[in-house]
Amino acid sequence: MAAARKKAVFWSEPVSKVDLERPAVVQSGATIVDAVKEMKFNQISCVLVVDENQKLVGILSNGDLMHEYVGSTLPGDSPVDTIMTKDPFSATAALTVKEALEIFHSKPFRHMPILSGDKILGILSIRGLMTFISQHLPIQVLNLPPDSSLIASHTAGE
Amino acid sequence: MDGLKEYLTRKDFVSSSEVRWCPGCGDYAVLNAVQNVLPQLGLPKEKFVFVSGIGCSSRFPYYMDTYGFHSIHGRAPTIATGVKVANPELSVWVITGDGDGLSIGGNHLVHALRRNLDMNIILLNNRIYGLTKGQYSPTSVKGQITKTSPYGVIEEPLNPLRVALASEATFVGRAVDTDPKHITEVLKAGAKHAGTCFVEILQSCVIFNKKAWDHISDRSTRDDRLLYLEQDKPLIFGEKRNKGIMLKGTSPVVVTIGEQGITEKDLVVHDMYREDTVYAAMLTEMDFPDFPLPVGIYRAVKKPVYEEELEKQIKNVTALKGRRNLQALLRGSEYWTVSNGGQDIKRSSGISSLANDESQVMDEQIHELLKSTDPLTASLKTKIGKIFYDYDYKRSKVLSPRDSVATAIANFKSARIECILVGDSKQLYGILAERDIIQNVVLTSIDRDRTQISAIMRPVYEIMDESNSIGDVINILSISGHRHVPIRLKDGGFGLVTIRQILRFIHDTVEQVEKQEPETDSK
Ligand SMILES: Cc1ncc(C[n+]2csc(CCOP(=O)(O)OP(=O)(O)O)c2C)c(N)n1
Ligand code: SF4
Ligand SMILES: [Mg+2]
Repeated sequence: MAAARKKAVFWSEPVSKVDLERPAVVQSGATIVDAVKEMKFNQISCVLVVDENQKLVGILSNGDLMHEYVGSTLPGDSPVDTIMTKDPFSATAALTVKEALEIFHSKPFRHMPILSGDKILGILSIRGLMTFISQHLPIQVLNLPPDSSLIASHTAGE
Repeated sequence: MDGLKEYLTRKDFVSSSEVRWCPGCGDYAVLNAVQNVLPQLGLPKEKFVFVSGIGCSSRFPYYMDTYGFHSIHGRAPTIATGVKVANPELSVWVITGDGDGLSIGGNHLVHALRRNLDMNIILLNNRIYGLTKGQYSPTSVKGQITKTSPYGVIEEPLNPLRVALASEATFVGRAVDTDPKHITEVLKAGAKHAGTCFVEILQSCVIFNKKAWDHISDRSTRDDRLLYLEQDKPLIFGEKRNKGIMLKGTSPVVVTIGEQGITEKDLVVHDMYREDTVYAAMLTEMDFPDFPLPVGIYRAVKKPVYEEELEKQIKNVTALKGRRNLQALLRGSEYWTVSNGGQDIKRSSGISSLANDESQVMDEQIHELLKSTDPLTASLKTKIGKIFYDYDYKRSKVLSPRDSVATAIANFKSARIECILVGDSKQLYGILAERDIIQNVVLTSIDRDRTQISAIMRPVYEIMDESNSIGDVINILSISGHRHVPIRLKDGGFGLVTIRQILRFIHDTVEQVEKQEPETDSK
């Protein structure tokens, strides 16, 4: 069962090996509109909020915006602080893939800031995790045509 | 506009470029004829565009004082198609040669003709490559001696008019360079035709194929050897106007009026408006010396015009799906991001492709090939239907593309979902994620009650089947950049598989494997 042993390797890999996403960041006090602009620019579904020392103080996701802002009476120039999740859940780069999977199962969020001390290393997302795992399964998952209808029925010359 | 008619003259279309054709070249006659026709069309000068390929004939645009494009060998019809589609107001003219249009550009010509854009194609046929100094062309006749056929051409020549008819050309004409007045008539009618006008000009290259058309174009014998086609008139020719074409069975024959009791009434009457191509094709078969060579308009039928059909289609689709912009396409659909030294390649959203049985069979076959003993790998062959029912399966919300953004918001809020499918029970048109709502509602001032979902939704990358494997789904999720894949359910309707479900499945599988084989948790 050498193959299984090989698979177990990605299981205990630290998330530092996973491609973290570049975070969208705004300062505490920035407006909600600016935060959304920042998310759009970075093509990511959450924005980190930092204080004047660049220390992480909050996170705001599309879900938060949908439930706290859209349809509310809050003006768009309200500070993000009013609706962000304060002191968000974060982890260090030593977190293993297995642990990360477990966190994502038990918590509702899809993005987790990865910190080294106060320094923000990036965002671990469920998408990043899945891509990482699929990279360990190249034949079965990755090296397939971009459209399942294009998968060859047999190898060339057969 | 009426004022313009009087104002513009032939001279307005004569450019200051020095003409580089050999003295005596038939191309001059065509240039003059075209410069005569344009002022009669009642269009301002800036509306004319001449597009050519490569060849002596293709130097034409330089000599016209209009917009022009001396383009790529054989590609003039294609570039002209783009010009016309982008700006249907323009009067677009393609100038090509027998080499440019029928050798390297044969394919382009055929497809431009069958599309039937409202444009004009003039093919100057000198039966030779003039510019490159005399190689044989697709219209060179059998036996013709040229630089590349020193012992005579052994290929069957193409007849440009038959190519045009076979390509469903709606206007097909022919004229001879020695009769510029007739060229003018044919081109004028062609320019007014709604659809592609294709006109072959029999043109002499005085340097490399001097005698190509002598037998029919010579003034002294022309009347006996050319048959000028006139609508609703019998096919009569000859210096004495006493010869005609009659049908014997299905074949044309030359007869003399007054002999054997034959009168004008017995002759074939020209009808260029005939829908089918049988009669026009018959005319293309007639050639000197057995017949006079017909010149004039062979065929002129009405068919839908490409750019008008396209505009209609765009209108209809826009009405249903809203207006898209290029930036959104570039940023949001079918693009690849390669980063980390090529390690990481991800594809963003794209066009939906409907699941089909064939691909399913293939998937099964390939998975058969990829048989593995590793339990995790093996688990990837599990049908997605299973994961679906085992892991927090929720039937997806499906809204209509005509529902308002406000309705979508209400659904997102009450159902606590991340993503909504847009379509009906049979078809998906798009997908709407929280992000699409947030970006539009927060950053733009759209009217939530009036804006339809179709205006802000994104295309579906791929729709999978319950029978697709988890591996397939991971593949699509990895490369699509999406967090969800729509699944067509067996009982009709659609579901969504999320990355979260997939990850939980992998987690559980690995955990099980580890329980069975604790030693694999090495390190
Ligand atoms: C891609 C490419 N292939 C070949 C050539 C060489 N070439 C230039 S003109 C020509 C043929 C032109 O023949 P035709 O369209 O009959 O024009 P004419 O000169 O007879 O008017 C060829 C083969 C080229 N310029 N570019
Ligand atoms: S080479 Fe022939 S086709 Fe070309 S300009 Fe001279 S005469 Fe005309
Ligand atoms: Mg030629």
